[in-house]
Amino acid sequence: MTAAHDTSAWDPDAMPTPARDDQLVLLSNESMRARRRPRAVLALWAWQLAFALLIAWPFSSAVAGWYGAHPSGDEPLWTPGAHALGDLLFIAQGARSGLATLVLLVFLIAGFADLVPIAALLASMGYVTRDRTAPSMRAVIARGASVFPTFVTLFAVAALVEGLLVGLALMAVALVSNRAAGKLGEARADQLGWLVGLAILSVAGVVGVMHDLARAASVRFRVRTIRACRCAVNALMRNPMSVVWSWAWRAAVGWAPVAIGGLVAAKLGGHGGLALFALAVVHQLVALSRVAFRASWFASALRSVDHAHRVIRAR
Amino acid sequence: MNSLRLVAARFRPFAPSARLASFLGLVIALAALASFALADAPPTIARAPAPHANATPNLGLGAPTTAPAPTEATATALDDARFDSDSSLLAHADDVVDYAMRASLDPIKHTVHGEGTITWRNTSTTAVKELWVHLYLNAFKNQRSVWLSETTGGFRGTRPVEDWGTIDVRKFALRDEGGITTDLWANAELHRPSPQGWGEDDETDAHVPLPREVAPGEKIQIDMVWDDKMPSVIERTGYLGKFHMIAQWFPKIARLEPDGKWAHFPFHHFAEFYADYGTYDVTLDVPQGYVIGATGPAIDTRNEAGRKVERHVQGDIHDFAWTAWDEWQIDKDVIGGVSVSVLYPPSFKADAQRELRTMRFALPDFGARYGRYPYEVLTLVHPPSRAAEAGGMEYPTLITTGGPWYGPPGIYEVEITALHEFGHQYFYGLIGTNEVEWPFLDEGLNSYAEAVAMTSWLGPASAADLFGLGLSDHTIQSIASNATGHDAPVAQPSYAFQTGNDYGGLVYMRTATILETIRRTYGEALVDRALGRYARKYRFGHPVPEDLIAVFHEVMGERVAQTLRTALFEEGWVDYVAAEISSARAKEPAGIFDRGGKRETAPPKLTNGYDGWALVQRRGTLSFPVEIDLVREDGGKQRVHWDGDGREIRIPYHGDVPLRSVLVDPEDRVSLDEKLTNNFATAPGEPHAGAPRTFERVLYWAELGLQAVLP
Repeated sequence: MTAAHDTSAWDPDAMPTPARDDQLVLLSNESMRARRRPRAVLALWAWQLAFALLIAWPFSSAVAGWYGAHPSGDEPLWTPGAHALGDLLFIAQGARSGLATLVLLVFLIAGFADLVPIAALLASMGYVTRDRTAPSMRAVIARGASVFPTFVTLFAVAALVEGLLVGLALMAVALVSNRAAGKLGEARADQLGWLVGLAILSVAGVVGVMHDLARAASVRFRVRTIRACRCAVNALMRNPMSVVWSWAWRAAVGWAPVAIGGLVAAKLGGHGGLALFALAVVHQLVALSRVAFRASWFASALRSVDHAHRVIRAR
Repeated sequence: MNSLRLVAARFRPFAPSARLASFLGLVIALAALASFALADAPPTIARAPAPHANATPNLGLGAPTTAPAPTEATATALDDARFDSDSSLLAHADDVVDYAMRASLDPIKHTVHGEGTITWRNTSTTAVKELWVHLYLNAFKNQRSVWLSETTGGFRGTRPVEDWGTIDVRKFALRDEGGITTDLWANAELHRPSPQGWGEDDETDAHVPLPREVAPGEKIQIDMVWDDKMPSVIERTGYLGKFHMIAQWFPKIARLEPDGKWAHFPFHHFAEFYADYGTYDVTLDVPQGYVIGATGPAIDTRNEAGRKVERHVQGDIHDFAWTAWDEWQIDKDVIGGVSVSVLYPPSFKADAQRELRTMRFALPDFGARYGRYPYEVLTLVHPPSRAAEAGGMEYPTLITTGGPWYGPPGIYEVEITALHEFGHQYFYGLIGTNEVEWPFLDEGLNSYAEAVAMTSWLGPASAADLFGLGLSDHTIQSIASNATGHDAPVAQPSYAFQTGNDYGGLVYMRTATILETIRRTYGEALVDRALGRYARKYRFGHPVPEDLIAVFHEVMGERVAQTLRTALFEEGWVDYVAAEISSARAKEPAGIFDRGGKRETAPPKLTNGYDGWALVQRRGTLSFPVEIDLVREDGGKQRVHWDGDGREIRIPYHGDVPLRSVLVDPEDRVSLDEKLTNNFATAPGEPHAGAPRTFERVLYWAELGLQAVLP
């Protein structure tokens, strides 16, 4: 471990002289909260918004090429019944594959590019300047960039394991559902299959939790992959229910704003002017709130790995 | 079969969950379907007589009516306007063929043993010396059958047969007066060369010579014994475990047309059925513990030697199907005097409730539009998902539905399927068209009726309503229609279609879209009256396409009748185009003018206001009246009506502000319009409105997507 892992790390006043490159010191355990870093949360939302723009801009430009000359613009596409939308999707067969490729490409690039701002968010929540102010954007990005290789390794491993588990879950659903249909009836067999699949997916969820804990440890303690994983295991094993619940409720509640956004869209969808502006605001608030929930979980992950580390060191 | 299941069936490669996928996805994929051209010559149209107006009611077995065959004269004598209401509805069909049968099911061996008597009357004008008998279960006997050897795909019935099905006739004997019986089956021909090249090995269409002529109006009785081996579930029939859906299961006499020609067919891959009306008295015998659902009401249920025996009797019908399973659950309701039962697998209660709710709307709605539902009972059979091939089908007073038990409420697959199959009680059941030769008359008209009813019930989001993105049944039909519109005529026999996509896109979707376009452009009331009159006039009849067109001619005039002919028989199409638009400051004419003996040169001079024009063109072989909006720069609109005649119209404009845009068919009435993206144009130099709504939606969806998948 580096000097930053001294057991005195959770007491800023007792911190040794930090590395000169960032002038950051560790923030105390209970102080690591997402709500204390609103700018960092906003920055992550803006980052994701930028990637979303890479998709939305070509899409809307293509649509404007077809419907820009309509006196109401693209309004017919969003009227109930969706006749114009269906017609456009049929006519635009050639463009669909190009746009689909674009979406895949953006998602792939974003998958890796997003690792730096996530690390920066973790650094922002886990550190403070010596004068107890929030670290600068430049400092946290530098800290985030420094752990990029570790994040990439963790991402690759987690994606592989989670992918395998999802595949396993799908197979289990089909297998159990088919085998049990004769005895239990279709619906009960499907439900049993889904239950088994859900159990396997919950393991994938735990892998995701460990992935986040390892990333938190990597940023907090500046450790590489193996040690970050050990920290994550320690944090999880120390209080598994609490840690998993901490992730799960945020993940679940994070869908509530989406539902609200859907309801608002049902009311305002298809209109222009102020209604469209209001809908855009609501939708962006939904996206921002989901980033905030994610950040809140990351802060919780930071506290968990930090606390586990302190307990272990105390022994 | 219903249109939604037809669309869903095309996406089976994407796993069963595709049925729950966004309907938008369905539309996308649907739109991607490319079809191959079919070059059959347009068929000739024969006019069938209307049903006889004085047919004697007859529900009793063995007492067929002796009413004379329908004639052209009786049809023309009818005052057709009477059929705009139920006052002149026929109470009963002309009873041509009665079946008294007893069937015993062995659910372990998946066999049915049947015995019974057919009473058949020659309703043609000529004596006949032969019968044609359909043995459609033999379609699943081997891969030399017409059904299994037709190289078609993209529709239902594409799964391989896991267990073959057969029907073996043990006895088929003519019983004359005095009890003398003559075996007919010894001379029956199951295999024979087909002039159409349908294959000699097919055993679904048997030719049975008679030992003597049967005079017009004469009745004969035939005693028969047969054994069925049910196939694994395929194409509307078969078994899955103990679930049995038993259809096309008995030797069935083909229909003899009034001119003495038999309308007989091997069982084709896309084809459905055609038969005469009569009374079915069927006693079903199944193991104890099994629940039976069958055509017609159960008039007697008893136990016999440890087996359950149930007798169903129904008149005025032309087929009989039944199901037996020891796991059926039943929900019941009485709707408008009709006893409605839903049979569903355990845990499918939510679907059953949705189907009952649909029937509470459909029974009165269809009754008001197309005449009251004349039967006492209606049975809905919701097969297990793993036997979905048995679903989405219609039989008299019994329909099979479908949909997963977990169907989300915002996607109306269950409702559309139930409503579509119920609609077939009219467009197939009560109007007994030849489904083999003219499939659009049942599936097409019914798809239209389905979409109209769904819209009437649920509004514009009649197929799906997903958080503000509402998709209508009409839209699905319109897109699929335009995807196949140039492939082949709509009005042709089912066996002439070369692909399932063409069959589905043209027979179901294009027919519905043609009628929907006529409804929107000429008025809902007129089309309602025309189709209602057709449905009432030909209740218990066997109309052909020209009968349909004749009714539309009566109600809506020659132009609509000609539009129908072109659209149905000649691959008619239409595309309205806002070709050009111009707007500029108004100017006084410049140049050299000889005025009052003097030659003057007038320089260019601007005057008040703006001049402009819009050029709108019509492409294609169909024409409909359309509205055209000239949109000014200040948002004001000037609406112009174009009757659609001619190839183009140039609309002049003069106003205080510049002309900004032209918009053809602003209220989206011409569902057949092949391309909506050329229905508008903006004058050069005028700003474009862009696509802000698309930008906002896609931006949001992209953010959610990124948040869902990013690490």
